[in-house]
Amino acid sequence: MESKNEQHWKKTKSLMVTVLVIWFFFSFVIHFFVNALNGVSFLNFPFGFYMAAQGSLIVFVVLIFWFAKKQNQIDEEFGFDEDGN
Amino acid sequence: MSGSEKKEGFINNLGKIYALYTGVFIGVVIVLAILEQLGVPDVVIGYAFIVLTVGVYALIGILSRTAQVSQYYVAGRQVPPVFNGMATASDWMSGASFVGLAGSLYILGYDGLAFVLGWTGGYVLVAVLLAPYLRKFGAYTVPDFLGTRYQGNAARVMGIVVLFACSFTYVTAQVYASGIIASRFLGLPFEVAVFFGLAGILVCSMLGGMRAVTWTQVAQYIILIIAYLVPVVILSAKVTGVPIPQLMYGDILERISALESQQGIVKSHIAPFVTYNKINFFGLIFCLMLGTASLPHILMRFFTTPSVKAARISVGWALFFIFLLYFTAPAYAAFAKYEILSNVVGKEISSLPDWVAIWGDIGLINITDTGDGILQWSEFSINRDVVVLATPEIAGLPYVIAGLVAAGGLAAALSTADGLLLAIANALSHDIYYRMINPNASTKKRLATAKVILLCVAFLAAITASTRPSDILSMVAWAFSIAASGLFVPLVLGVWWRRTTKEGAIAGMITGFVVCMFYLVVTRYFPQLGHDVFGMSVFNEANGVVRDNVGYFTIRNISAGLFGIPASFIVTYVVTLLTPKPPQEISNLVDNIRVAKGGDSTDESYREGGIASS
Repeated sequence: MESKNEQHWKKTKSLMVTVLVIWFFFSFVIHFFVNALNGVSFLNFPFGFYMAAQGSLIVFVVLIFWFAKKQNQIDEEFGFDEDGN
Repeated sequence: MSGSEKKEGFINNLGKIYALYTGVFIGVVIVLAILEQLGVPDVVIGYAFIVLTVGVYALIGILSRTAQVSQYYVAGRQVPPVFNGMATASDWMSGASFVGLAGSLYILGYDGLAFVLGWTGGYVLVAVLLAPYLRKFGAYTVPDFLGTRYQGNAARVMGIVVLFACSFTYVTAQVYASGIIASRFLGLPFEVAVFFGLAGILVCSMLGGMRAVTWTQVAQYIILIIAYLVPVVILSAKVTGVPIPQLMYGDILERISALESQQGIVKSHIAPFVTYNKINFFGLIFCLMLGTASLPHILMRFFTTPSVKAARISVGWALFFIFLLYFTAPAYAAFAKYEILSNVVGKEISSLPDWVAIWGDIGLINITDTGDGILQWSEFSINRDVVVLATPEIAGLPYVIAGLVAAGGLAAALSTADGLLLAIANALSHDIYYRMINPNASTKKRLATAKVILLCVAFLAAITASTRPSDILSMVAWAFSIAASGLFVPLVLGVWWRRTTKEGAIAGMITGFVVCMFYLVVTRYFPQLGHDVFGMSVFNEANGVVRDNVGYFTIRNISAGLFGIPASFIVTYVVTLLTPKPPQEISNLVDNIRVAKGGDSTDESYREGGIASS
């Protein structure tokens, strides 16, 4: 059977992978399609330009806060948070 | 009231204190605006802004002076996450971000957004891969972590070499920027103004170390963000009727496109991959992001939070405060371009707006007429710094706003300089002097040494800056590739791969650093050698074999990390597998930093010279 530490780290790793996949998509993948996206208009912006200038940035900010919340939940689940016993 | 009660009172009332400070600052701006209307000359307004703001920073620096080691190195680890976020944001945003980023976006259009993306997305990596674990480890400096995780002074020294290589040119550029602003608004010769800037930096950092720098950086953030937003908000209200430039410039982009086709301009503002091809665009994003996650002066800010949980959330706040400036910069660029396309280009040269002449007189705007008296797009060129600096005049705002922008630019340069200076000086005083030369030094002696070293590094930077070294200034962008090539892999694998050995990490750091420096130095200083001996190709045949015009796979030297980072990773991986597993105590240490609970992995006795607990 896996120890508590191993299970905790497994969950932490899978959260890390999830976050980095989202990060990779909004850092690189979506901007490959800038020309196609520019055909769409969003708040009067060409959408491809908007994603590089604002959209991805908003995703990054929200992503970090979401990650912090999720990681706290994992820590609490195993009693590994700093306030827990 | 005892000292510690007073301190806790201060931490609990931070919100009130900084709200009051913000109110007073806005009040001062209003008073100065009234004085200007009453006929007080511009030069007095300029003086008032510079002297008052630097005076406040000095006051904070003096009030935060400290004789405690943990206060000096990590602000006593009691900075609440939101305030650490603000301090990180002003630590991060340099004079060049404040003044130059919008101008780069004006010139590069869509391609410039690689900087906006690269300088924000890296914080995701900081939050997920590094900040909480380095906080748990409980070090004073980044080399301190490397020296412990990779058992010994070789990794520590290599960390310091990389730190110095990426931070020294950076700090020199900040001192230079503060000198430029001070000389313009105080009317001093540049060589004198540099030392004025130096004094402004030292009063913040020398007496109180990290503690003083933290509280000054929060104050500087408030000034820089107000100064950045006010002019473009007013301009947006004037042009579009809505004071939210970040939302309204979509409309402006449409008008720019219409004007561009009307005037036959080939390079469209929103067209992607014109200046940077795809490899360079995405390569630059990659290097800037990994570089962000490796810069010691940023990472060490997350050593100051009270807990691991606070360190994570603090990265979110840092990026939020950075985002406020970075998502405004493209709006600046769009409004400036619109103004120039609609009111400058295509007009008679004799009837151009006043601000063109003002900035033209000091050589930051260039107009070359071919003889028909009408200004063409190709006849107009603009220095990238003008976009932010001239916006108050473009919007027809009073001089007080120009003074506000200067105070903001100065705050940005000083806050970044403080952080960098502290990173360099702490590595030298803590890692070299205390860890390697004199582990028995008393607290008093350690702090005195730290302050003397800080002073020496600061003077060295000021003397270098006073020679106006154009090369150093253009090398700042290299810092990200250097940091990423030398530090990213050993830091991340140190936490995420228990197996990583001392030998692997050291070999990886050396390889990454050398490969990156080789590419930078050859493509910049020895293009002929690079072309003839190393088989590099020429990017733009028309320009021939000259600096910054040779390389492999069309990759520009600003993205040298594209070679250094993989090299560092491969070497670390292979050498690690060829060498025996790290000892049990290191394995335990890694397990310990992966769990938030249980206090710092290294306790006080370790920091005072003992060994790591596990």
